[in-house]
Amino acid sequence: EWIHLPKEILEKILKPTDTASLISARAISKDWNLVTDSRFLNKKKHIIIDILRISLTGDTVYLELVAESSKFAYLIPILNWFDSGKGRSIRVVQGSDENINPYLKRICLTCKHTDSEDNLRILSTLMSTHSIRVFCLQSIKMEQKVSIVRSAIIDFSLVNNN
Amino acid sequence: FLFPIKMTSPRMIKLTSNDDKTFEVERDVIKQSVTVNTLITDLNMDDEDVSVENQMAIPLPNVDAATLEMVITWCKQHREDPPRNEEEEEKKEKRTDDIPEWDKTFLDVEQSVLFALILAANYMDIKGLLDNCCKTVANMIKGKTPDEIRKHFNIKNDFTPEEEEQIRKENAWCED
Repeated sequence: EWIHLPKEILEKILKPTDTASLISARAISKDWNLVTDSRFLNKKKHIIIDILRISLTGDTVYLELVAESSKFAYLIPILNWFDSGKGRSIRVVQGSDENINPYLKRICLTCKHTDSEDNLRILSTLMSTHSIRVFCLQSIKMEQKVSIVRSAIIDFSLVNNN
Repeated sequence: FLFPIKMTSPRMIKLTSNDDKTFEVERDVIKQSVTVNTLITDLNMDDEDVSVENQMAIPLPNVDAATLEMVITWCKQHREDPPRNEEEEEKKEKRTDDIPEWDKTFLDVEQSVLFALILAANYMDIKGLLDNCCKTVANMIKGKTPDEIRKHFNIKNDFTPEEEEQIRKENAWCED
């Protein structure tokens, strides 16, 4: 017989667990997934993720983010939103760059842009969706084509963290 | 000049499990259960004129005898614990390495027993017991893959293959 625990018990079990356990727990079953994802969203935590590099090749923008792997768990909703959009994708970058701390995770967000405002719109939407907002975003002009974020530290914080 | 000394025995409360076994437990011990405590007050069972023999037993339809016996043992062990301040407890940083030694040994039981205890503690609203049971489960999850956790706790995988693939993909963004 399968064990089925009520939602309030699952919340209680998952409340003191570390992020790595939460990541595992979200893949157990639908109930566990719902509870863990709401834990990530409701966690009153300050998360800092660096943008490692931004590049533009043809009509494709590459945005490389770097942080401790568990930090990305708090971004799953926005990463998922980004990934599901037309012309956008995410891949995990396998570390070959010796300058990068091997204990950090790198993921690369890729998106196509068709007009000069597109990138900025996508990026700002990405950084302000699902109750996570950006406090510090540095913009520069790149070949007079697009305003783009570079070498900035993005300080994600939950909107409900009043 | 001697005063007669009145010996008072502890006030006893009767509890009945869902398999019709009745337990007599000291009022002071079972006060840790908010559910039972509320019932005692609401049913005016603190009347000292009513002997335990004539007292109505409190039915606990969600708890079997074996589990209730364990719950009572835990409550006896923790009868001297200071009352919990739930507001303070909420503010505390949650951790799993602060389970008292006695509880660690007590909760080192089969999973089905542990889960029955969790459900009983939840139903009887015994926060200390529920907390320590949940922390025990949290410690069991640590370091295990989703598949290992499912097998360990006998949890059904109710994802469709597509959903499972999606979660695997999302987890790849944040797993070590």
